Amino acid sequence: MGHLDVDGRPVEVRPGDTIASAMFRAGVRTFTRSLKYHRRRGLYCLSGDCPNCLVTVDGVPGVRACETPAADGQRVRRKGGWPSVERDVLAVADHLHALLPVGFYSKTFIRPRWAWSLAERAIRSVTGVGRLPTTGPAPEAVPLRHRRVDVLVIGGGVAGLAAAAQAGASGARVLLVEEGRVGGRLAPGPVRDRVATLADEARRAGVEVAEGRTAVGIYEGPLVPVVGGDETLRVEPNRIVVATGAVEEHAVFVGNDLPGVWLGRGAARLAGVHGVRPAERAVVWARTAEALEHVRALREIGTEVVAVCGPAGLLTQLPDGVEPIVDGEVVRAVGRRAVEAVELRTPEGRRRIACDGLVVSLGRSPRDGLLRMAGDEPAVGAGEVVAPGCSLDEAEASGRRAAAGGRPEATSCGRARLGSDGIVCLCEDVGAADLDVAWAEGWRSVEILKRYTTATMGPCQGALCAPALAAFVEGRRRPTAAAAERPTARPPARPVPLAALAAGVDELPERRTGLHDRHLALGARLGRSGAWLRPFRYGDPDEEVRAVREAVGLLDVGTLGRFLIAGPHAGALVDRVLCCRTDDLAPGRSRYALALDPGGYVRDDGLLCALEDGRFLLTSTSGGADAMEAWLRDVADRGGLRVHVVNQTSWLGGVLVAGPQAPTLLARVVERGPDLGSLPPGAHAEAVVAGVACRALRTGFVGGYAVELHHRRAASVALWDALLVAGRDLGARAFGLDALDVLRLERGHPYLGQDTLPDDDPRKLGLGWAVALDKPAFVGRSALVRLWARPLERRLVGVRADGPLARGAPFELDGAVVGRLTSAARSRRLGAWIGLGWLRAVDGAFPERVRVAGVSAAVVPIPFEEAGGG
Amino acid sequence: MWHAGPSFQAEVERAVALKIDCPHCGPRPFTEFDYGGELVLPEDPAATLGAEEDLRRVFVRANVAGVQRERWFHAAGCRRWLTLERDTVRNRVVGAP
Amino acid sequence: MSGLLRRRTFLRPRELRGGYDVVIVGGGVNGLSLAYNLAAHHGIRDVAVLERAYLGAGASGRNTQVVRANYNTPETVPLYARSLELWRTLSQELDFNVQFSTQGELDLCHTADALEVERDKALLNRAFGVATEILTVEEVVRLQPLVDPSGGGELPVLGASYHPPGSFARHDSVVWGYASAATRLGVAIHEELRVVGLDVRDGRCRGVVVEGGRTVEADAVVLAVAGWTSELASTAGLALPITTHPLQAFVTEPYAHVLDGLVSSMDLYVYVSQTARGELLVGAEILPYTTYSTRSTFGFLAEASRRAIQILPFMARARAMRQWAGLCDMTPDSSPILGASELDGLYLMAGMGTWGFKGAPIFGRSMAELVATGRTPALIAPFAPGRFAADRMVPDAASAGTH
Repeated sequence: MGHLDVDGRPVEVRPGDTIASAMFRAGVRTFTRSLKYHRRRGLYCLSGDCPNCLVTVDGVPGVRACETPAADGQRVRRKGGWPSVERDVLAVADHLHALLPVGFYSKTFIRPRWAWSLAERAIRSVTGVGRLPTTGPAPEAVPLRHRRVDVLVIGGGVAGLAAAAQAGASGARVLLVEEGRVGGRLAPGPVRDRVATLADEARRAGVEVAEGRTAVGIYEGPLVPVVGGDETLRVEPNRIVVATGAVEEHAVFVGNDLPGVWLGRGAARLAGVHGVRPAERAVVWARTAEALEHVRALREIGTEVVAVCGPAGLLTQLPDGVEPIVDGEVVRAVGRRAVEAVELRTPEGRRRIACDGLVVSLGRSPRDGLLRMAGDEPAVGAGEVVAPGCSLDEAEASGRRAAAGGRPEATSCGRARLGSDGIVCLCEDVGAADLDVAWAEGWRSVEILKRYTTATMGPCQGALCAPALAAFVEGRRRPTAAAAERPTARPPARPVPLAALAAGVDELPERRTGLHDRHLALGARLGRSGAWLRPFRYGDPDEEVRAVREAVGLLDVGTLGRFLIAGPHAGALVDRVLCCRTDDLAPGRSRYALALDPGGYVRDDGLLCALEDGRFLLTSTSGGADAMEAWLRDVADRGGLRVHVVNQTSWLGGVLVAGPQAPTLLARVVERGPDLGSLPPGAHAEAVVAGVACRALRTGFVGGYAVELHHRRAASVALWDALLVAGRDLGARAFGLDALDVLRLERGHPYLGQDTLPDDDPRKLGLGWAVALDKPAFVGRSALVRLWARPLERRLVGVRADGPLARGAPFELDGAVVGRLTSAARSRRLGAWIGLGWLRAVDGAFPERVRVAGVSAAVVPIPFEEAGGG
Repeated sequence: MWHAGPSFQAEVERAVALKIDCPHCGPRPFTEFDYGGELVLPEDPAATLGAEEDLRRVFVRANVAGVQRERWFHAAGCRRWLTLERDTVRNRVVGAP
Repeated sequence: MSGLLRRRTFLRPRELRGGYDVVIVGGGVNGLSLAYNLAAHHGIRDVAVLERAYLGAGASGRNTQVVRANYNTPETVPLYARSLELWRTLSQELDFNVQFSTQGELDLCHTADALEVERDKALLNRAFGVATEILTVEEVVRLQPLVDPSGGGELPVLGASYHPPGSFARHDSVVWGYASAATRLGVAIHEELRVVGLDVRDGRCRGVVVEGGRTVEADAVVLAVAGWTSELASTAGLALPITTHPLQAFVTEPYAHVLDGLVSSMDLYVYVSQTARGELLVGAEILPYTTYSTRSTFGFLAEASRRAIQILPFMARARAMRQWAGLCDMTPDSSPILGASELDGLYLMAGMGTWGFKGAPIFGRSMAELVATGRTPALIAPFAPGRFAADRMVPDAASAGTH
């Protein structure tokens, strides 16, 4: 089978070994060092519930050695300890408890101010379950599968298999997920036999059994993500049976965390499943009948069980040679590197027994995190998770009842046992005495004690210690209460690698226009603008600006929102959504239109074009298209309007042709329809351009003569190529968003969202002219009436300066901030820096000059200059 | 100690938990929908109101911890709006009026 | 290390009396900050803090511990800058280590739009003396070599905003620090005491009604209950511009120190830091729908994992250990509501969104001055509840959406 490399030492692997069993067989007793006090920790639960066997395997820290099959060549490193786990000088901390009291970090490093940053650095370097690799290839992406089933059973023990078999027999689609292998943790005996029988029954009933899979949590839906087996499942079951069993109670007594102290099932597992002796000489502390099975398993593997202490009733059937110690209780386990002896309190007095193992079986804590996080999803528990300590028959019956839809009876498992000291939380090294101190300091609720002491907050998430913490609080607050309130259970139920969680999450959507390949061919620098990939520049943006101002430029506007609005109430819808007049718009005419939200604030702008037959075409900004569609539909729906809103954005292309040579160019390529070279402002028309049917819109965004040609997206390339070819001698060239920014700025057109604030109404933007307040009803009208009754306190202004203007800088007046520059560019045409920004009135008047990052700027009317060429 | 969940009898009702019953597309996961906020009255956003009432319409939200009438837009489906009732504490759709 | 061995009592259970000068509803970081500041700076010690669960049970114990001042309006930047100053000496002031740690904040931009917004923000920040600078991709990689400049091969990093004063403090410790300092000064803190309504008589708020129907009178009542503000205010007939939304986060198992500071993406809406305990803490954006449910969703865990791996590929091997959700009370302008309500005797510390934690020191300091003197400090004047009706919003969604 090969060998493991454990801290540089070869460790033999035998069939069926986990990393933990192989290491233990080879003599390893200290598997890790504890977080705070650097105490030695050894195998304890062997069920993935405690942190004692967390090791780093092949560079990945936090691997549970007890759950991980051993394989030849694995490199296993134990964490903690300096210079090594076996010889750890930091273990001196264990002798300095007084200096590491609970709430240590709250009480220390307060003065001087820099003390904490120094201390923090030191703490951070030694904390955690190990060091995450930060180099090397990323793990492969994990595939995602969706599964719908009638019943999902979590846990492949007796109750889970019974539930699955029963449900399967009734014809349900059943998926059973098991963290390890079915029966894999069980020593030979009646439980394993029963599991084998039930597993057969389940398989015959058509149950799908998935091993090596862990349920992450039970989420709303219900949705149960399951990881493992090199894939992630998103299981959507109709109902869920949780049969995750129980873990033996973690008893708190002095020395309870020494290597050699075992939870009974852990010891039995090592003996029965792996054939490894957990100890040579063991004492068993028993309060469960199951403990007697542990005694048998230990003796079979050759462990000498010297004594069993517990209640008289249990101790009547002990084999020969095992001393019964009636009503004996362990008060202390002692030893330097591992257990060397236990101290007992018996009715006859104190006793000390030499041994190298102490096996504890006092009760069970349900492993019920999944159930408790289920909220009111259709999940029920079966078996030990609801009835800890139940018999085999009870577990099976409970599973069958759960499958049939029955509800189990709630069972209390009593309160956990707490000694005067000993480790409560193994992950975080929190002792019972620490809880006492925190209580005395005034912290009284489970949740605060948890956070203050950090008990239950480690990698195990309280699997073992939450009952003990709850018992502590209940004991103090309501000493008579039997059941204890535990800290909230939160997903994930077990730690899960992010790579598995991320399975199947989509890439961000990226939208491309029909001209994408043309932009690439022209050497454009493309970038995201919202979801769209758009050309920012093809070469020198100044040259692109010059082309538009002096010749003709082409801009891909296939991203603009375009909506066809039709139906009997089409006119009513646009009249309500837009604040301009719409009823006087004749077919073939268009108007600049603002859409306001109910607060009177501008949400988008565009062109409204009246078509024949009472239909309209409305454009919107590229980034606002999705929201505009939703808004149009919302207003129509809430107003009870009968109207069709067709979002044409994704199947229309668009090319803006702009500049003084645009009329010449357009005249050359129009094949049918009006002369697009002399389309008056506010006009639009259908035309065939270079063989492509277009709707041509005269627009004013960049100034000068400009026409948008909207057409079938599939025809974009043909149209674009024809325009560039026909315009070559005119100096036609493509321009991008960087040039557009300067062009629109020279016209004083604000970019919505960049130059505007969310609470800008049209008046603040100088767009009051675009509002027909005399219309009886439109969205935002009531708000505008209210807002415009107040003096104007803030407005969008143009600024002009000789020196450079830094976008984003505040406007300052006499040292006070009175506004902010939101756009800026150097305009070659104007020979000056220009910008837009918002400015506040000072004593009722708007300042005429402001300082912008040290530069004096004049507040000027916009547009800065009527651009010529139209 | 254990979770006292409801019986399976009500599972049909719960199966639509956090699924929104779209009148056009049937029950769909709520992630296909965009949230449109609590239903603000008057329903018609273009209705004319006085200043006080308008301020309420624009800014004030009942924001109830309980059942709320609200708007959802089936963005990844039929692209239509619907009004439904959701319990904001349990985060469950409880009905469509 | 002094005082380590000294026995300390941080909280003391007290009998609830029938009246106080000031009753603060909500034992979170803001309510406790106010209580402490009233007692410490204004000599008002007859103060009761009423908390329905345990201290810090709400958003205070569920936020992602980020402290920063790189906001984006002339009103918010100086407010959070002043708060950051108070944070720096808070441990000493409260005699409680709140684990304040300045490690810097790196906000990655993958689009030109995001980078421009960050550039704007940086300029405005510097105008108020707040250090924020724009980094090139090369500078980003030099500063934080763990960042994948290709954005997972999908969304290349174009640049970043870097905010050196960006800091963390352990959220629970801050709550406990304020609570213990207030307790020392005589403030009465009551846990597990639910306030069910406001006591309004003769047009004035005269106190609160607690579970069981008992009335606790006060000259001033302050609501500091974050997501639950609408519910409580409605008992006095007050309707507010607040909606309650979920915000989620998760932590991984603790690992040895690997990541310094906060790394976020302004386009992927994800942010990652490593706590002093070693856990990698991942947060994302506030969700658009309203809810009072604090159940976590797998959608968040999956999406945030994917986005975190995209900016910090080493995260793929980390194991998520615990996820949770908190409630954020959002306002129309993404800025807090601080001041006197329209009802006499009732004050609001609300609309805490994603900024309640970082603002707590200055929110408490300023509100204490207002409650004690009746004068509104200039720093919080723009955040008065009446600003919406007055058309004086402080819109700052760009810097308040996530961490």
